[in-house]
Amino acid sequence: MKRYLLIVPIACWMFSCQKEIPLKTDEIEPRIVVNSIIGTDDTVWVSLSESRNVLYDSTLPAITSATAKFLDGSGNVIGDFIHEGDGIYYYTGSVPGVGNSYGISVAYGDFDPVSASTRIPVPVTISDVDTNTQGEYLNFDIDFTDNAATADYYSITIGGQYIYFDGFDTIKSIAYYLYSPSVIVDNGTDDGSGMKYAEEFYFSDKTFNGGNVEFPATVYVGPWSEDTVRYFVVLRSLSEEYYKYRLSYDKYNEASGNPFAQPVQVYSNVTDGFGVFGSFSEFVSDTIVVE
Amino acid sequence: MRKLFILLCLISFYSVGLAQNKSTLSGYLKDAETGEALIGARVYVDTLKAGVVANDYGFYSITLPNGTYAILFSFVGKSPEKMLVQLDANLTLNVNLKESKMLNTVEVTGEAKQHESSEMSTFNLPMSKVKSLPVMFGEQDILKTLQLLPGVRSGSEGSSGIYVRGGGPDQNLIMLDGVPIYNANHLFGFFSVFNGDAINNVKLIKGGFPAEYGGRISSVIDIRMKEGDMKKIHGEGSIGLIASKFMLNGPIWKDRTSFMISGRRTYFDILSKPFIALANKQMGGEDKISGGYYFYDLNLKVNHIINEKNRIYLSGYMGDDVLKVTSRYTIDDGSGKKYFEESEGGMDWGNKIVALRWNHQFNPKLFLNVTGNFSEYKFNTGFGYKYYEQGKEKTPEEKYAFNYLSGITDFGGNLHFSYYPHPKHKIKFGVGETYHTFKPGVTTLNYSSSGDVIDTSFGASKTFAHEFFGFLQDDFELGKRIQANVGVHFSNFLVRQKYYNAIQPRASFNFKITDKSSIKASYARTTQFLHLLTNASIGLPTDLWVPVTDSVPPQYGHQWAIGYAREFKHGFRASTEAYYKVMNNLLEYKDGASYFGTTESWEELIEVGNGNSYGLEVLLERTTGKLTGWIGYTLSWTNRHFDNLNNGKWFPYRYDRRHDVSVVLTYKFNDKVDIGVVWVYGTGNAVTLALQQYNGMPVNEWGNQTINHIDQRNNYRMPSYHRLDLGLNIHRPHDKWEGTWSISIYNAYSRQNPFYLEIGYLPNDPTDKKVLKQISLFPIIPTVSYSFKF
Repeated sequence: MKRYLLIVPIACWMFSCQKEIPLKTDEIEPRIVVNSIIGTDDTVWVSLSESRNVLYDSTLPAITSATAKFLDGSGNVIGDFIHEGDGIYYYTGSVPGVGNSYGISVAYGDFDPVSASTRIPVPVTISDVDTNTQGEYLNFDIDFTDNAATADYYSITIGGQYIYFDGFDTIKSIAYYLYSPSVIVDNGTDDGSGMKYAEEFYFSDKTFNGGNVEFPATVYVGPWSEDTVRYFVVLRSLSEEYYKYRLSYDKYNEASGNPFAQPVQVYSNVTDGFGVFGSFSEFVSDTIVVE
Repeated sequence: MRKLFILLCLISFYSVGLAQNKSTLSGYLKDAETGEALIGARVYVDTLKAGVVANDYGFYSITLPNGTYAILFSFVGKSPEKMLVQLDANLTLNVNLKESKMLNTVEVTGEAKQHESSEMSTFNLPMSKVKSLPVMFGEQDILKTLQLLPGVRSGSEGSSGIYVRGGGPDQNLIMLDGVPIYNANHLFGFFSVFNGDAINNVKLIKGGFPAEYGGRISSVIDIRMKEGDMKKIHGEGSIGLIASKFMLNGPIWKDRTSFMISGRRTYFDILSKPFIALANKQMGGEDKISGGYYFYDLNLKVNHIINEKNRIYLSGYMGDDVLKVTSRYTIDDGSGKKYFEESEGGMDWGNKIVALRWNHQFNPKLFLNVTGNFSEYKFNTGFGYKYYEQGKEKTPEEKYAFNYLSGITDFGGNLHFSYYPHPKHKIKFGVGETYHTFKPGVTTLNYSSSGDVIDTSFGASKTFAHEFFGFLQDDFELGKRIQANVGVHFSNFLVRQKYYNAIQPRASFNFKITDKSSIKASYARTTQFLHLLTNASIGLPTDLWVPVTDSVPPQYGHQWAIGYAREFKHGFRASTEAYYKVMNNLLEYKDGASYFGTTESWEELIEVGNGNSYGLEVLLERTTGKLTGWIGYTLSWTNRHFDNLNNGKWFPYRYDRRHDVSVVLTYKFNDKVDIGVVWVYGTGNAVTLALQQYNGMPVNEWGNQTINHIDQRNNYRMPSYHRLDLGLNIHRPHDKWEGTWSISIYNAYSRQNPFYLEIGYLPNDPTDKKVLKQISLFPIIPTVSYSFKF
């Protein structure tokens, strides 16, 4: 690269001149950042931190002394989030229930208070999983029923477990890359043949709203004997906030550092702040043994 | 029955009698010195207050009651000719106008007076102005001169991209001799492909489009090449800082056949050779680098008069930009074996067009032009690498190559009729068809290493389409005060078995308030079946031309405009226009979309939305006298809306600039010395800039990704842009030729104008702090060039 620099500066004396443009950073007020995704069997936690103007060149400070409240769908306080360290707060009261709405409100120092809400979607049951082997690939058809009356958002992952003997029988887990048709899924990398691949696919019900759905997915399982691996499918029902945030966040990460990529606006549902407060529920299929 | 028969005979005799009382005067208006057609020259009969303008081939036709008239033939920059014509039968009269030596001509009768013509939002650019203005690197540029007009923007510093009344760069129908050119840029947009020496006439239409034009929704830039002098050989040439050019024209067969040929080439590649040699010397050994960049243009035209009623023209253009870099390094692995690493990369892009035209005059009132044309634009970029042991070049240990190709090819033809039935009516009608082949980006990859081989290609397949159009328009007078141009343009597009059609009504009116002033109004509906996917602020050749498809609809535009024009004494004239424009089905790339390194089809990378644009333009011109030029001001807003971008909210267009001022003046001291001054000012373009950063959701064990938050697309305004250019031309006439020294200073006070902004660190900054940086391109650039003509 240095060898090219001999030519470049000669041409660039006319073509490159840099100077600082004043950016009124005083007018860019920091805000509270809320990051939390709640499920139905997880401990409810939230990460709180401060935003800074874009010229700030240090680690973004965590918020360690905020007043963060967990709310029900009517805005009533259910409990408080307690700080456990590094800006991570936990709520250890009742486990959130599916179909219910929850909210969060955060107040901290001189910052504008922020709030957000989400509704935990009802999990959708996987009614059936058909498999068939094609060489070193395993095809899945995952059946479930979508609710036509609601706008629904999903994610699918396929995992596997096998027993590995290293002196002891140890259960090892595998997370597979899935291949699915591009027209169905909303994320993933296009392989140029009308299919996309990803570790986790996100999709909405726009292509099939309502009725029985047969979601096709293919994984590469390799030359190992199929009956040593037990497969399972995880179908998550996502809140709209979680779905939008995840898609935009993934796009943002993919576009980072690519000068030819369009800028990405990462979704946020936090009023007067940044971040995401979303939710999901999930259904894990029975273990699938491939004959 | 008998009475009816007598009545019919009387009516017939009366009609025949009426017809026999009128005759048609027609012919060609040409430059006395060069023989070039005087497009838009005026033919005026004062006693009847009737007039016509010459068409694109210099042909005029006017039907008058039989009698004797003083007829004035005129064109800007030429001495008008007043002739007494006795008209008692159809008469052909060809007139050659000489160069005007009178700098203080009071009465400019030039092309149709602005306040009398139904033309609106139209500017005829005199080539003399293009040649006399100071320019960057001494290279005259038609498109850069057009950017100095109100309502016309450049994309960024130095770019010759055109953004007219809030429209995108793909919305301009740029035609060379009636053939569309798809990429009119050299050197990433810093220069246009038009060699000024080969050009006879340039017309810009920003609104009120006559029905004869279609295919784009924001502007028409109609550029006509010179035809060639039928009497004697002429030539021009110049040597500049970065390029040289020549133009030669003259008779092949005196008074019957003429030719014009011109060429231009840069010599960056030649100038950089010594520096590359120095770099190679410093590296020493067998290591070598080489490379360079150049562009060239070649224009050719042949014009043949078959007889009085038939002429044929063959015109062609080809141009290319070529950038190439190669390197070769030696690697000694310590075991005594020597290896080589060779790489080669580059890009090339260019246009080719050919047009064959036949003009036929059926009779003094009916004129036909038939055109067959071919147009091609191609872009190609690639990179190759191989690693091999000395002596085993043909069997490298590792090799890979990448190539990306895109382009568009057109075959087309059209018929254009001009019919002059009456002095108060000029009717045009015609049909045309173009067969498009789109190649919107195919990538091929080859890789081999240690027995592993990859050989694949991906991207969009070719798309074929038919585009058919027809039009009918009438330019007519309604009483003594109203001039109107009303018509309809209809077009159809057939692609992938999907059919689109559009009826596009057009109307423009001129209401004369006094002999010196008028009010104008216009409406135009326009349609465009092509889109340009553009991913950067400069005119990258990687921008893709794509057709509408079964899933991507055509662009539609509606534009309303109202204006006022007034002539003053001493050649001054002023005009002001307000416009409102709506654009539907615009394309933008999705968030995060990248046309490079993706296997997805372009249709999956775009969003479809709408836009609007409105503003006020003011233009004060002086066209005669020692001091000529114009001052232009534009106040405008331009916005876009896409359901899936910017959270569905309206946002400013990238080139939404609130205020634009241009001062363009030339002063002719005498025949030997003239100066030019250009000063431009514009408030900042809108750019997307993240102003805040925050932690994203932790998604893996490596912690949070920091997110740079963008609250809105195009949320930040770049600093304002202003620049002063100065030029001096010293003409040295000799017996048979004239030489001119041109000295110009671009950006005379070396303003650091913004090219783009980014967050980063300044070089050699002791504080090493992160700042918002402005990258500028061109400081003060003095240039000297020498030109000659004979």
